[in-house]
This record gives sequence, C-alpha cells and structure tokens, in this order.
Amino acid sequence: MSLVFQRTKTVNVEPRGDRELDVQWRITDTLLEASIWMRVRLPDLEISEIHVEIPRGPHSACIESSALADRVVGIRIGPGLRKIVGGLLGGEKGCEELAQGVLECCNAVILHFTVPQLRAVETGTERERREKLQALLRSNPRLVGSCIAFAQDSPLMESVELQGGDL
Amino acid sequence: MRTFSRTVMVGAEFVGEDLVRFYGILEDILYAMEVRMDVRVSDGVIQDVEGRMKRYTTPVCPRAEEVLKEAVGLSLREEGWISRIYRDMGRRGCQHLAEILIECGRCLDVARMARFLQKTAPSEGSLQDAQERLARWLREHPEARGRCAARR
Amino acid sequence: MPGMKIDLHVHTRPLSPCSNMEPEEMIREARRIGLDGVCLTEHHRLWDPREVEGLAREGGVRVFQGVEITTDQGDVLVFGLDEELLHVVPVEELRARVQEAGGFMIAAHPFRGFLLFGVSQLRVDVEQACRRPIFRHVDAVEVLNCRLTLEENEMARKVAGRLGLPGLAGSDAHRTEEVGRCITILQKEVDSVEELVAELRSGRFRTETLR
Repeated sequence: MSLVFQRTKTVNVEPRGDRELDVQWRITDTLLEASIWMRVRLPDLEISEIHVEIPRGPHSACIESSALADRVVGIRIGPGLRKIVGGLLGGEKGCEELAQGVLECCNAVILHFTVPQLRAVETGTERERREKLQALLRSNPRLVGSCIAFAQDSPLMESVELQGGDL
Repeated sequence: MRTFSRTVMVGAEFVGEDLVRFYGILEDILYAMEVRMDVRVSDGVIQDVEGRMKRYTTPVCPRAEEVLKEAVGLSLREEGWISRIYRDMGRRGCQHLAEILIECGRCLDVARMARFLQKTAPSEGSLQDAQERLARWLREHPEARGRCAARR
Repeated sequence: MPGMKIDLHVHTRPLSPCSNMEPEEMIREARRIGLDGVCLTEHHRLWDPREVEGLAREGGVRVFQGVEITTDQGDVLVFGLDEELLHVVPVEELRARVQEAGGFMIAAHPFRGFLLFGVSQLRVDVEQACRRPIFRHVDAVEVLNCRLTLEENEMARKVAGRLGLPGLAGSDAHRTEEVGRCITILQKEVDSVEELVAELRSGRFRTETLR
C-alpha cells in the first residue's frame, strides 16, 4: 500500500572558526515545510542568532509562528533546555513543531561534542574497545543509567568502580 | 566542514480504516536504526512495534530492541506519553530508538489530516483552501487538537 | 564544630515526577544519617504548608519549603516565595518577585554538563563564566551538588568566589541514597524559612560532603 504521509528531517552542524557553530535544520513533510538556521556561541553554548522560515504549513498559525523564534536568542544550551524552549516557544500561543526544531538543533550541537568522544572508543581489539568504554564511564559518571548499555546490570559495567558517585 | 549530520524519515501507511503503520528511520554519523509501529487510530494505542539497530556504538545496544516492545499498549493520546517513552524505552533501552518512536507518534494526527485531504480533494485547491478544510476537520476531531496556537 | 546540618536541595514525588522517592522515605533517610533539616525544592511546585508541618512532626527532622524554578537562564532555588510559578520565567522577573517577597535565590548547578562532555571539554574559563546573566540576579551559587562532577562544582566555586557570592551546598537528591550527600552547615539553628533566609544572608555557614 502506498504511503499517505511522509516526513524528512535533517540537521547539520558546521563550525565557524573555533568560536561559533552554525546549525541548519529542515523539515519537509506532506503538509509542512520549515527551516531553522541557528548560530551558537562557544564556549558558553549560547544561541546568538536564529532565523526561521515556514513557507508551507497545515494551519495559518504555523506559518505565523516563525516570528516567535527570537525568544530563544540569549539562552544557553544546558540544563533545563527542554523546559526552557518548551516554555518560550510552545504552549497555547506557541508552535510545538518550532519548539521541537529548536530542540533538535540544540541536540545536534550536543552531538557535535559527543561524536569525537565516541569515535575515540571505536578502534582496537574488542577487549581494548571495552576498556576504553569503561574508562569513558569512569570519567563521565552521568552515563550510568542513561541507557541499556550503561545500566547497572550491563556487561560494560562489570569491573567499573565509580567512586561513590560523581563527587 | 560538517561535524554532525542526522536525517530522520517517517512514512505512514493506513493498513486498515482504524490502523496506521509507521516506518521510522534515523541515520547519523554514529547511528543507523529503524522502527516499524502499528497504531490504532481510534484511541492511539500502539498495537505492535519493532526496532532494528543497524549501526551503533556498544555491543550492548541491540538489546534495546526488546525494551522497545514494551511500548505496546501505550496510548499516544495519554497525557505525558512522550516523557514516558523517553523514560521507559529511552533510559531503559536506547534514546535513539525512543526518538524514532516519538517522531512516528507525533505524526499520528498529521497523517490523518493528510489522508483526509487526499480523500476529499486530492492535489487540488490552494494552501488557504487546504488550511480551511483542515480547520473544519480539527473541529470535528477534538482528539487531534493540541495545545499550540494552531491546533488549540 | 557543631551546627545545623541541612540539605538545601531535595526532590520528592509526586510533585517532582523525576524523583524516585516519597517524602516520608526521604525524611526517614535524613534522620538516619543525622541531618537536622531538609528543604523540599520541587520543580515549580509548592507544598501545602500544613503538609510540610506534618512531615516534620512525624519525621523528627525540620522541613523547610523551597522551590526550584527554571528561568530562561537556568535553574534557581528559591526560598521565601509563596506564589507558585508553573512556567518558565525570565530570571529578571523572578528576581523582582523574590525581592518583593524578601526571599533568597541560589543559582542551582550552574555548570552542569552533558552525558559526555562538560566545562573542561568546552574550555569555559572563569572570567567568561562570571559574565553569565544569571549571576547578576542571584544571592548565592550552589557550589556543591552531588549530581555534578568535581570540575563542574569547582567551576561554580571559582565563579562564586570571583563574584563575591556565597557558595552553598545541596544534594539535589532524587533517590534516597543521595539525600544529604552535599550539605550546608548553619552556625545557628533555624526553625522557619524566614530564619533560614536570614542565616543564608548572614553568610554564617559552611559546606560539606556528608557521604
């Protein structure tokens, strides 16, 4: 049977020198088309500029919501981000898709910093890779319990001693 | 040079009057995985779900496919369903599989709207005309209303 | 050195859905490990004062009402504000309300990082960190939080020191085993939120990790 609805989302991160990151996000689906361009200042991960275009949407309010985006200028990608972005862009006067798009841009920034850490544990024998993963766990205790790979009963957690938590 | 890139795709097919099947795919620099999920349209309850890890970072990651199955029985109409999936399928399984599931779930009502437009006037009329017809459809389908300015 | 051992930052369910402990469990644990007081700092939600009194009476530990509010510039622990703010507020607006109420604001875990990176990888320096807007609107900084790494707590301590803001400790407990891990020890015993705020303002306290 053929598809009735299709959605494609893409997000890309590109450094601009060593002080800024540019993020491009786009959603194209059967009813909606929107794009976000965001600039993030380092090292504070502060959103310094944002530009949103929504040329096509299922409701007129979707298209008008692009004007809300400036509200996130000045916020930092950090703790409580989901709540902050949801509070500024979502809700009765906001747009859930726009809030979601901004969050996905921010998540891509986080992944920009995460990729090198995970790439570093990709090489070597199986045993070496396991040891590197365990070292990663020791230096990043917030990983513990974050997913099945780092659950307390995961084989990766065997012989990992975390010194009384993360203090 | 790009340092991170991700693509997420969702397709929706109505396999019965009251059953929609979603196909979700995530592909980025580190991960490649997909989800197939069947949802009953009338109450939003997940009837079946299957995840497949194709590229991942640890040998334990594929175990999350089993955890994802625990989403069966959850309703996408339930208050807080997104947080519940992040917590129960994400933290206990895989955040990325959970993200695909959530993206599919967020498409439930827009897929219904797309079907409505196709059934009533396939590929004709202006954007404004489509918006007016969708506004009427939303009035007749209060379960699809959201909290945002457009769907309130 | 004696003093009043108090955990300034604790979350319980159901008012904080992210917490894994009931208030009664938390208070039993606080008593077991020898705390003199705990502060309920749920996310955006306030307890009924009568319930707080009941918890203290039954638990044998002093219980104070606070709240953790998400602002556009990050999370803030607030003491002495009786109104419930259910949404994200601009930090300037929160400051104005708290000042009017005579309350006290603490920047909570200001340098908490992510799963795989934090202040070190980002190479945040103290001078830059001091310029974050949140520090212009708070009375103190949480410099010891059990969910943060050593480096993140250390950065908070350096920033507080540089800005001349007092540094406080709170465990940010979401599970019983986290209660009391980071405590503030007041020189003087307090029995009410007003007295707590007065002592925090006076600067007569020190911070410690208990377990």
